Amino acid sequence: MEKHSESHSHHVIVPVKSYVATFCALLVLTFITVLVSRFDFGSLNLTIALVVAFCKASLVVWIFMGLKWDRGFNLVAFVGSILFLIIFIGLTFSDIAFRHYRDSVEGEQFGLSRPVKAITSGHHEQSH
Amino acid sequence: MSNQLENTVQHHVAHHFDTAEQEFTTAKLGMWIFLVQELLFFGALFVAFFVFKYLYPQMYIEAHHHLSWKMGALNTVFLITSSFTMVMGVRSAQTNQRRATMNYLFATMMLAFCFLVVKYFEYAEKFHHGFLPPHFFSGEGVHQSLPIFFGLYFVMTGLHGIHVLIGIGLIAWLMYRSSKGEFNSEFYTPVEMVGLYWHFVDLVWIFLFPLFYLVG
Repeated sequence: MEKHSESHSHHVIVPVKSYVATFCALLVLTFITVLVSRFDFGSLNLTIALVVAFCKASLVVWIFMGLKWDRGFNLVAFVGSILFLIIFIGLTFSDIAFRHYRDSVEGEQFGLSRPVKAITSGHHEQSH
Repeated sequence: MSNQLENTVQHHVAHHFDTAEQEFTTAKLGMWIFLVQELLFFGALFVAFFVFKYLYPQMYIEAHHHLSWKMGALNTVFLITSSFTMVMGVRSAQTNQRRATMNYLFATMMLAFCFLVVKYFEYAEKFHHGFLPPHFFSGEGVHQSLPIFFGLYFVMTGLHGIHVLIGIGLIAWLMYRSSKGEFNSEFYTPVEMVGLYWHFVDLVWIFLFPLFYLVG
């Protein structure tokens, strides 16, 4: 980031074919993810769907949002937020995914000390 | 080309910036910080989605069959296409093609409306069957926890829909300013920023679609 850019010299005009290629790739990936979901691969379905979604998201961020040609600091901000999201998910699941080692599993309520229940009828536990 | 640029408005760099370049990069950094905040904000909802998916795997499988993957796929195509027209609109502004900018912005707006129309039909069907968030749920399902899924569905797609609505407003604002000749290769900052926002809306949908409609 040392090089000092002159005024206006920074704006990159991206060739139309890059945008068209990205657009086509996104459509193909959408088709793939829909096609794969029509078959049952067990837990692999979620993995494939997420991998394809990450590929599509990367294309959008890299080409359409122009991070490829952008200043590095914007990339740092973006990647930073992804890292914090990973920490968020990681810490949450280090709790949720290991509760059944402590608490017993009953029915659909997966061993939470205070089971998560659907509030269907709308009235709450009266505490007074 | 020259007749397109007859009534252009000269942009003046705000006094606290040294150059137009500095003004542009500052605005862009601000926009990215905003989008990063949006990402974390939607991220929290995705964490909630995954927590309940982990707790009620069978219920999620039942629930996602109540959503039409065809409608979701159609909306995905609408949004991806609108992202493409948006990026072409920004490019047209960069290259002084004002007529093309207007056309691409208009196309983006129409695709956004198409998205919302499809969403309207989806929501209407959910209302009809009573597949609503917990307090209002009156649908019929095997799993008692089914309303949790529809709570997440309406909050997440609803917030995304609000973003689409705001995007339509922003694009209308761009078209108004573009018609006054405010954007050219020297100044197109608002077009670029709304473009970034619009791609972010597309980005959220790229994750919402497979998680809600495709994977149970």
